[in-house]
Amino acid sequence: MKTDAAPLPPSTLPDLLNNGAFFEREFPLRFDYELAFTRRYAEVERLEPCAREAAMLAFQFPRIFQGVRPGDRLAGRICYPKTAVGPQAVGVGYSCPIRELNRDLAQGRFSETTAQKARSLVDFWQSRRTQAKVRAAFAPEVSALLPSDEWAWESGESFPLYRIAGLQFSHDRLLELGLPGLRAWVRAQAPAHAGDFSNGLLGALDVLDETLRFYARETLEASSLASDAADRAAFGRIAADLTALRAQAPRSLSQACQLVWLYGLLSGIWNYGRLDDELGPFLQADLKNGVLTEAGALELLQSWFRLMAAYDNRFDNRVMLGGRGRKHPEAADQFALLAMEAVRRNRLNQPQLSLRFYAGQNPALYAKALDVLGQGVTFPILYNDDVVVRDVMRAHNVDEETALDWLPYGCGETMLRNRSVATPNAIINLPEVLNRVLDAEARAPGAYPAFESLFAAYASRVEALLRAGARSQRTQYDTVAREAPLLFASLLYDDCVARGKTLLAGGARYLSGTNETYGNITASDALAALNKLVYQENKYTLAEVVRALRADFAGCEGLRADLLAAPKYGNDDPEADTVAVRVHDQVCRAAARAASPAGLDHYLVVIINNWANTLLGRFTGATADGRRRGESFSNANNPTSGMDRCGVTAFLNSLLKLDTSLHAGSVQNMKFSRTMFTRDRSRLEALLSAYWTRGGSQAMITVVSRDDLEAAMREPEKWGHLLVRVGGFSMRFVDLDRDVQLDILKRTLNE
Amino acid sequence: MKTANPQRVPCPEADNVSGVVFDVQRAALRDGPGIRTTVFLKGCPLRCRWCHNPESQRFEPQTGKGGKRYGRTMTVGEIMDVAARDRAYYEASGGGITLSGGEPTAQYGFCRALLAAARANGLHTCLDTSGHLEPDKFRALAPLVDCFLFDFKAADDTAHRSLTGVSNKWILENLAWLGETGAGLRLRCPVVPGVNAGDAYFEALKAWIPRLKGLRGVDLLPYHAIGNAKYADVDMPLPQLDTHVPDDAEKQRWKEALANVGVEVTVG
Repeated sequence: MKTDAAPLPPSTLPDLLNNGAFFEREFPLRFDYELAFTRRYAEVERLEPCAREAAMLAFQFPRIFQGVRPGDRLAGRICYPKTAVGPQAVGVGYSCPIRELNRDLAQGRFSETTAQKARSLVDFWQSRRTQAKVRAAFAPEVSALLPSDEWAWESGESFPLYRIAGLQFSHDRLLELGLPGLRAWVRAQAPAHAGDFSNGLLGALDVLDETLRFYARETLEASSLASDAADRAAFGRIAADLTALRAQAPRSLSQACQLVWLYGLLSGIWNYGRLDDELGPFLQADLKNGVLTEAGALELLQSWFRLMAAYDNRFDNRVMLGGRGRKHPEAADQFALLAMEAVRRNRLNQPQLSLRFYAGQNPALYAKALDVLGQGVTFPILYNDDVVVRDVMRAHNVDEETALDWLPYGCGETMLRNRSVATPNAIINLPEVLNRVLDAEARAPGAYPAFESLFAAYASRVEALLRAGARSQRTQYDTVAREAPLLFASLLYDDCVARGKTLLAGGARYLSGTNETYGNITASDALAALNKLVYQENKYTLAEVVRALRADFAGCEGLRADLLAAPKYGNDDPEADTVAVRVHDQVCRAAARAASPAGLDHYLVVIINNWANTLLGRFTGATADGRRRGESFSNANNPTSGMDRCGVTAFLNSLLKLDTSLHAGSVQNMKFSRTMFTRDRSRLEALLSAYWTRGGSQAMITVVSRDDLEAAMREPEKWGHLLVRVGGFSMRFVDLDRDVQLDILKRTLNE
Repeated sequence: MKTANPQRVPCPEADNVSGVVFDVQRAALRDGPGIRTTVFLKGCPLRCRWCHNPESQRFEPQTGKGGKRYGRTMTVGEIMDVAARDRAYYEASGGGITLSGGEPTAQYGFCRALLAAARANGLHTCLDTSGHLEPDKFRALAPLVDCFLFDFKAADDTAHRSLTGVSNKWILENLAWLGETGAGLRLRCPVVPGVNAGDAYFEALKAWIPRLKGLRGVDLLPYHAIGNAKYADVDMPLPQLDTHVPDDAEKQRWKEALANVGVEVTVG
């Protein structure tokens, strides 16, 4: 489907958009693009879902692309405006950030002309944006359990998240067929399909074609204007690649990378899958045929990775290397080694390069990974395939061959490439759940005469919230399927074209979902402390503890000291760890039970972490592990920062007690001193090896010294290079809020 | 640890023996090969002037002025329960258990029972000792120790008495015996500039090295002042030492003084 809206001349793009990147905090002062997008939407609003999406994609692209810049060796920079269509870029489906616009209007941040435009955007999108339609479609009992959407600004037990994440492609079909081949393939199957579906897919391919054409012209012009000779040559080569890709499948590494990258940007999918296996053969052939030198290939990858960093989806941008089930292991290894070197040289917080490894894999990959990690770049993230494949088989209930194609989503949620959609569409704040259960004691003293009755009340509330989460997930999928069927994803995902159905309307083989749990260990340490001090030692009544929590321990410092001194997870202490295992098993199993009643193939907990352990902590009162109101929670399955005091082996032993096959991923941050990677390298390797052998599934390793972190807090201007793993993502330490910096500083440094 | 660790092999003749311990440090990386658990036994017959663990000198548990407890009675079984939890890490790294102090051999029966229980559990053992023990008792421990971490504080007896409060007669006799038998051994050398360490110290060290058949390395441990705050907490006067914390250049000179001795020399 062709659009009548011709692309604007490239020179006006930055000025028209004037929007800043997605994560930039400054709000735009002009909304001309957004109003034009809105007008176009109004024109096509009543079309069938696929036709409407194709029309809006054709409006959006290539308009929001930006030109190549010096040093770029691939085309593909994007600048998201404030209205968009896509799985999650600005919001889910058709999106417009109503809350931020209203805030800025209220604060008088716009001129009168701009304010008028902002108000008209708010009026139009208030009820039309997909998020609002999802919320409106929640069953009343689901809404009652998930009353608010403001998880980062309000206290609450559980919140829905609006987005379609949790999908990743195999690019094999794209690379094999190229644009012309994909068109022919869709056309050949069109007679069996509803017209809207086939026309929508062809419309999406027109958008890809138009994008290639746009960038070919743009880079040719950039080549003629470039002052640097290397840029001039590279831009010319990019233009030739783009032109070639309009007519044929990719034939070189640079063409293959170019096609994968632009397709990724158009699809709005932020994680890129098993690039080593898909692109390794192109690399190998180019090196063999003298099309490319190794230095040239490295330059290409470094440039691509810089583009990913500029895209700045810091919780995403996954590139996976290694692992079982690759079709071209030798070529893939070559690509993987080069990719790790590119990340080492770039020293940026994105992409989130990850390595799957297993017994029998080329040991050079793991060795290179440790070398790169030792230099403090926090990548690659390590995944033990010998454990994860088994876990995925169990948790997702699939056979081994299917499980081999597992991939972690942005923060580490496992999904099945090209087969499952496993978006995290809800979060649950376990310490808040426990605190509200404890509030019943304040209302009716004696509510929980035994630890078991307290735990049962907590577990029952968790289960109810997870069931609501699962139902809200299915509602979101169904609503998005009607609103924005995600054509680019539907084109590559297995089964969609064969079934003639879009991704979320019966196309994808598995409709799965995940719930992000936060404060698991804070909750379990709190329960362990209550068990010991209230129920075993009778040192305090439950009512006394609840009063102290409500007062944020004011006047109860002795009680708080006892809570802090109670057994804590992370020390290989059976008392604390038994409760941690119980909390873990309960939340994992309750989530899994919620799948089927909600109409999902899987519903699984993810114990990942962005910085929600800090954000949710800000709005959560004091907890019975001794944590004060507002302080950060424990991070994923890691001990509460600073509470693991018995050494790294004890921490790992605690961690290994939590069953990794019950959920869709958990992340383990480990902070090591530089000495561990130099003088004590053999000990470090032995430590990790024992961890993997005993069932360790994942590790995210930050190499840093305490002195460095403290110096960076004092003199941030000198420490821009310092990368740390926050939770499920890496950041420049100096860019973090102070409370997040303090949380990282408090985490145990293993030296 | 209330529940017995199933990974532990019971050792009936040793498990109920108890002693006073002031720390059990897991994941220790500086007390012998690999990843280790170091058990610090309380009490020491020596009074080294640079001692940075003053809380380890008395044999009985004590409470610091700040309320911190130093030392508690533990049985061998309780300690082995903890140590056996890290078996996988020892096996992967060539590590094991280290007894340190204080002077671990000063609680002789406890020390011996710990080593025997470690043997029964198949754990590699290190004994971090001053060597100040009657030679026949010392020799009786040797079959239970895989590697001695043996202090070398001063070769001259007068100096040794003045620096540590005891003669080095037993110490040198025990060291000579270990050297002859070829027992696994590392020399641990506290280097306190201007106090025990000068040219004569390094000359004496070099003279001893060829006599130690099983010597695996020499660890130079530069003086530091990190433990000084603990003196006040345990109500002891801080010994006045005319020394300084050495810089990197000084450490390099020590290493050069021991160049070509034929074994690994580490500093720090």
